[in-house]
Amino acid sequence: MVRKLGKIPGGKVRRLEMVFSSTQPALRVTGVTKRFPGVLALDRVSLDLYSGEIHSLLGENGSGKSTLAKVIAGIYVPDEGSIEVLGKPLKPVSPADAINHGIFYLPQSPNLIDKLTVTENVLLTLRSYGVMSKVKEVKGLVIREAQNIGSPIDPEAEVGKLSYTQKQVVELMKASLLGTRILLVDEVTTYLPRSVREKFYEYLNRLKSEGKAVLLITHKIPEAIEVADRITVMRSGKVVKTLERKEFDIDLIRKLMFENNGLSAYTAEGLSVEHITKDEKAVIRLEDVWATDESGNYALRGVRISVRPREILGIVGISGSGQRELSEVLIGLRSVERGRYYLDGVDVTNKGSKVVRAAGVGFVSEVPLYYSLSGDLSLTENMALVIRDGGLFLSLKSLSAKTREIMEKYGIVAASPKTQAKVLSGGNVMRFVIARELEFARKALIALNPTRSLDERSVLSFISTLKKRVRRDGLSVVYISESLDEVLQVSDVIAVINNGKIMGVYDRRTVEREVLEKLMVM
Amino acid sequence: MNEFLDWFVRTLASAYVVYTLVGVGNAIIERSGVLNLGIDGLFMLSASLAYTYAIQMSSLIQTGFLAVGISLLLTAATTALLYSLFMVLNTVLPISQGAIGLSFMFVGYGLAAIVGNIGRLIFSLQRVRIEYISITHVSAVFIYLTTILAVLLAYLLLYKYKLGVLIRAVGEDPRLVSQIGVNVTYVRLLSGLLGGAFIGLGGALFTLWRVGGWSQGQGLNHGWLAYAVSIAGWRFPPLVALVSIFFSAAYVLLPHLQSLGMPIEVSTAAPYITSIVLMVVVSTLHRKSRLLADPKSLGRSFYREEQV
Amino acid sequence: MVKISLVITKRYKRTIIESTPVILMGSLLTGLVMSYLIIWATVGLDPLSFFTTFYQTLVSYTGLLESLLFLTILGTAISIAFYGSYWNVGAEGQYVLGMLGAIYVVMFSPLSGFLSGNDLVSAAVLKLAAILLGGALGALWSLIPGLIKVFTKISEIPIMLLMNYIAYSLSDYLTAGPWKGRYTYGYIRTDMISESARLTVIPGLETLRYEVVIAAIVVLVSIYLILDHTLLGLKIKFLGTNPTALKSSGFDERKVTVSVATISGFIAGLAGAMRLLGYDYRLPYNIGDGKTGFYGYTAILVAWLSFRDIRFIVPSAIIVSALSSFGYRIQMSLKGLLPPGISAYAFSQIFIGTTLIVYTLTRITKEFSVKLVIRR
Repeated sequence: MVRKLGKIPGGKVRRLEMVFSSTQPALRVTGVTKRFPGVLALDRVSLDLYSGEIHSLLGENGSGKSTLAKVIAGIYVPDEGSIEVLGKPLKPVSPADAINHGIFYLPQSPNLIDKLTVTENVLLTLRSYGVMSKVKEVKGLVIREAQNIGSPIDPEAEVGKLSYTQKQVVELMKASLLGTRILLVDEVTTYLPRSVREKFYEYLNRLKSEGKAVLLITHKIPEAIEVADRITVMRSGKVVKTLERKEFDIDLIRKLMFENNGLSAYTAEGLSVEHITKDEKAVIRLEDVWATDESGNYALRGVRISVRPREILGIVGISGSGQRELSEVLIGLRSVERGRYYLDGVDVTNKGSKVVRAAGVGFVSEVPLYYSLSGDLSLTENMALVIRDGGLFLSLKSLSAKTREIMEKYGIVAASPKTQAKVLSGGNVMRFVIARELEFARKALIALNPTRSLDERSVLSFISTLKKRVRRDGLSVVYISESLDEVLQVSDVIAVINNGKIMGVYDRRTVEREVLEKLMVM
Repeated sequence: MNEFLDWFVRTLASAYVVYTLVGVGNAIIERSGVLNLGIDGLFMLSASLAYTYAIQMSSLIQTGFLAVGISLLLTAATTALLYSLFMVLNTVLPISQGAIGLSFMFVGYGLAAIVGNIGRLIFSLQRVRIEYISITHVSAVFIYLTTILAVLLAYLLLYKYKLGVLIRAVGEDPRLVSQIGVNVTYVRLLSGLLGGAFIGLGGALFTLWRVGGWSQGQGLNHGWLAYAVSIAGWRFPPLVALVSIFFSAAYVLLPHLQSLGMPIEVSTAAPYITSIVLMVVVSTLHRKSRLLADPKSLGRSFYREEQV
Repeated sequence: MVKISLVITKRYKRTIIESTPVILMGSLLTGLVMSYLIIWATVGLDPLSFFTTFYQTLVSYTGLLESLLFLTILGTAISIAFYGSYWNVGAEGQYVLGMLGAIYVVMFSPLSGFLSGNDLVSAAVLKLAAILLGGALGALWSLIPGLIKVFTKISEIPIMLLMNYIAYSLSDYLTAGPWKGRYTYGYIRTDMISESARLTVIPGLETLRYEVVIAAIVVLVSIYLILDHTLLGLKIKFLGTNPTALKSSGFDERKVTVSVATISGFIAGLAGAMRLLGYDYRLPYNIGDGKTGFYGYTAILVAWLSFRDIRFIVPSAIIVSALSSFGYRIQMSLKGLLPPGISAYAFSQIFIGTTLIVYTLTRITKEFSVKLVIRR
C-alpha cells in the first residue's frame, strides 16, 4: 500500500524514484535540541535515515534515543532544529502531523486501549475514516491485514485480553494500514522472546525490501549488530558517531556508548551464586494463588512459589504474564480470590500491605512514581513514608538528616532533601526508591522490573548491593523481570511465569537457557 | 381511568423524559473522561434559557407551537455550545476538572437567575402569551417516543460508530490516544456538543413542558438528580433509560406519602435520599462487562507533553 | 493555512506570576471585573456606582470580621479535606448539622435542665458540650459520603451536594415539628436559647465572640501542626498526591480518607454550633433559603484560593468575606438600578464561579508554561 505523498510534483514515476533513491534521505534530522527541566535531553542531534535501510539508534538508558524518536513522531516539540521528510520540512507539533507524513511510532508498550476491541483500536488511528463511519466497515480490513502479517487475530477480541506479542501485531497492522514509510521501533524487541523476535526481524527486513525506512531503537548492542545496516550511537543527548556495517565492532560500540565508565570493575564483582540452604523454612510461600486483574480476568492461576532466606528467586516471563499482579499480591496491594500467602510461616492472605510491610518486606517497582513515591512531595516526606522513628509525631529535622545520609550513601543527585521527587531525573528517582527500600527491608524484597529506567552501571551496582544484602543479612528476594539475561545473572532459583501460571522452577546452575525460553512463550 | 392517565402523563412521563435525556447527555460527556460537575448549574441555566427564548420567540412569531419548538432547539444549541467550552477548557489545559466543574456550576446558577429575570422583564413589557407545550396525550406520546429514539441514537453513536469509539478511547487514556494522532480536544468538543444538546433539551422540556412556566431557582438540584440516574445506569444509555423509570416513579410517588401522614420535609428530601440510595445500591452490583466499566481517565487532567 | 496550537510545558524557572499572592489577587480582580461585565452585558449597570460600592465595602472592615472568622474556620475544614483529595463541598450541610447538635444540647438534652442558671462553670460545660456535639454531628454527616466513597468508589461530590439539601430538610423538619417554639409570634421557628448558653460578646467589637476567635486560631494552628508534624498529616498528603504509594507502604487508604472526612466535618460542624450559640440563637424555618448565609459554599472559594497552603487561608478569607458582603451591599445601594430578581445571590454565584475559573486557569502558570505556536 503506497500512500499519497501530497504535494510532490511529478506524479507516480517521480514518487517511486524518491522512495528508492538513496541519495535523498527519507528522514533528515538536523540540529535538534530538546530541553527538559534540568536536563538537556537532546543536544543538536543530526541524523539521516534512508529508504530501504534498517538504522539502529543505540545508547544506554537516558542517552536521549527515545526522546529523539518522540520528537520525530511529534509527541515532543523540539526547542531547536529541523526535520525533513523526503526533502520537505516537517514541523510536527502533534503526532497527527507525523502520521500524515508517513511516520509511525511503535513504542515499547503498545499504544492500545485495553477496553476496546482490535477493530475499534485500528479504526481509532485510521484518519481517512470520519467520525460517522461505522465500526463494521473496517472489520474486513483488519482480518485481511492480520493475514498479511501472518498472525490471525479475532477482530472482535478485547485488546486487554491479548498477549503482548498479539498486541504488537495489532500495532504493526495499524502501521501498515496507515501507509507508513518511516517506522520508528522503540525497544519493542526487548520483551519479545527469541523466536518471536526473529519473526519480527523478518518482518522488518520485508519492510526494508519494500523501500521503507526503519529506525530501530535499542540499548542492546548484539541486537543492533544483528539487524541494522547502520548504527548511530548516542550518549547523554548527543550523537557520538554513525557507523556503516563494515565498521561494526562490539568493543568499539561499547566504548562509544559508555565512554570510560569503568564497566569491567563492576561486572567482575559479586555475581556468583550463593549457597542455597535448602533445609531452612521458607520466608515467602504462595500456595495455589488465584487473583484477578482490574477487568476481572484471572491474572494469576494457581501460583505456587517459595523463597528461602539468603535466596533470590528470579521470576521471568514475557510482559503481561501476570508479573505486576504477582508483585502486588506479594506486597499486599492486591487481594487473592483463592489460595494462601505465608510470610515467615504466618498466614497473611488478604491481610493487606500493613502486615507485609510490618514484617520488613521492601518493594521496588518499574514505576516508582506510581507505586512508591509522590512526585509532589519532598524527598524527606517520601523517605518518612517508609522509614521513620515511629510514633504519631514526625521530627522533620531528624528525618531530613536521615534522608541526606541515605542520599549520600547511594549517590543520589538532588539539590536537597526538600526537593520534590518529580524534579529528579528518572534514574535518580529509581535509585532513591531502591535506596529507601534496601534500607527498609529486613526480611525480604520484592522487585518488579527494577532496572527498567537504570543505565547499565546503575543496574550492576544495584545487583551487587542486593547480593551483598542477601549474603550479609539473609534477605530473601523475589526478583521479577522480563529480561531473561538479567534473571540468569541475578537469581539462585528461576521460575518461569506464563499466562498467570508458574511453568517450572529450576536451579540456576543447571538450567539451560533454551528450556526457559520455551516455557516463556509456550 | 382518564384521570389516572392525565396524572401519569403530567407527572411521571414528564419526569422520566427529563431525567432520561439529561442522564444520557451526562453519560455521553463523562464517557469521554470529563467529570461533569457543572451539570446542575448548566441544567438550571438551560431551564431559564428555554423560558426567556420562548418569551422572545413568542413576541416574534405568532404561531405558538413554532415559537416553542424553536426555543427548544435554541436552548439545546446554547447548552451544547456552553458544554463545548467546558470540554475544551478541561482538555487543552492541565487543569483540575473538579474546579472547572464547580465554577461552571456556580456561574450557571448565577446566569440562570439573570437570564430568567430578563425573560420576566420582557414579559412584563410586552405581555406576550407563551404557548407551553400542553401536556396532551398526543404531545406526551410524541415526546416520549422521541426520547426513546434519542436514547437509541446515543447508544448507536457511542457503540457502533467511530465517534463513540473516539469518545470512549479518550475517556480511557487521552494521552495515549493523542499519541496515535487523535485530536483529543476535538473529540471532547464533539462529545460536549452532543451531550450538551441532550442536557439542554432536557432542561428546556423541564420548563416548557413539565413545569410550564418559570420561577426563581427553578431546576436547582434536578441536574444532580439526573446525574445520579446517569451514574446508577453505569453511563450506558439503555441502562440509564431503564434506571430512569424506577427513579422517576420513586420521585413522583414518594411525595404522595404525605397524605399518609409523612411530613412535607421528609417528602422534600425523598428524591435526594432516593438518588443516593440508588447510586450506592447499583454500584455494589458486579459489572463484568467492559461496556459498563467507569471511564478510566474520568476526572484526571490531561497533559500532553511529559518527560518519560 | 495558519495553524495555531497551544504548547504546554512544565515550568522550572520561577516567575512573578508563580507567587501565590499575585495569582490570588489577580484572579479575584479578574473575577470581579468579569462578573461585572456579565451583569453589565445582560442588564446594564453603571460601572462608577459598582466600583464605588466595592471600594466602600473594602474600607469598612469591622463589619467583615464576623464572616472572616467563620470563613477561616470553614475554609480550614475544607482545605484539609482538599489536601487528602476529599472534595468537601458538603460543609454547608455539616454546618447545619452543627447547629442542630448545639441547639439540641442547650435546649432539649437532659444537660440543659441540670445546667441552666447563672453558674459560670456549668454554662461553660454546657456550651462546650453543645459545640462538641455540633462537631460530632458534622463529622457524622461528612462520614457518610466518606464511607460511600471508600466502599463504592462513587465521587463524594454529588453525594455531598445532595446531602446538603437533606440537612436543610432535616433542620426544617425539627423546627416545624418536635422543636417548634412556643414564643415565636406565629412564626415557624424554635425558641431562643437561654442567655447563659450564648457565646461571649467581645466588648467594643460587638460582632465578635471570644469563643469564635479562639476556635479559629486553635483550628488553624492545629491543622497546620497535623499536616506538617504528624504521621496522619503525612498520610493525608500522600492520599492527596499518590494514594498507591500510601497503600504500598503499608497504610490503609480507606482509613485515611475516613479520617480526613471526619476531621473536616467536625470542624465544619463546630462552626455551625458556634454560629447558633453566638449569633442566631435559634433555628429558622426554610433554613436553605439563604438563612445560613451559604457560608459552607462560600468557604469552598476560600479553600480553593489557598489551595494546599494553610498560610493563605486567612488572606483568602479576608478577601472573600469583603467580596461577599459587597454582594449584599450592592443590592442595597443599587436597588433602583437593578431589575427585580437580579439579586446579590446571582451576583455572588457568578462572582464565585468566575473567580474560581480565573484562579484555576492562572494557577496553571505556576507549574506550566503556556505558549502559543503559530505556523503557516
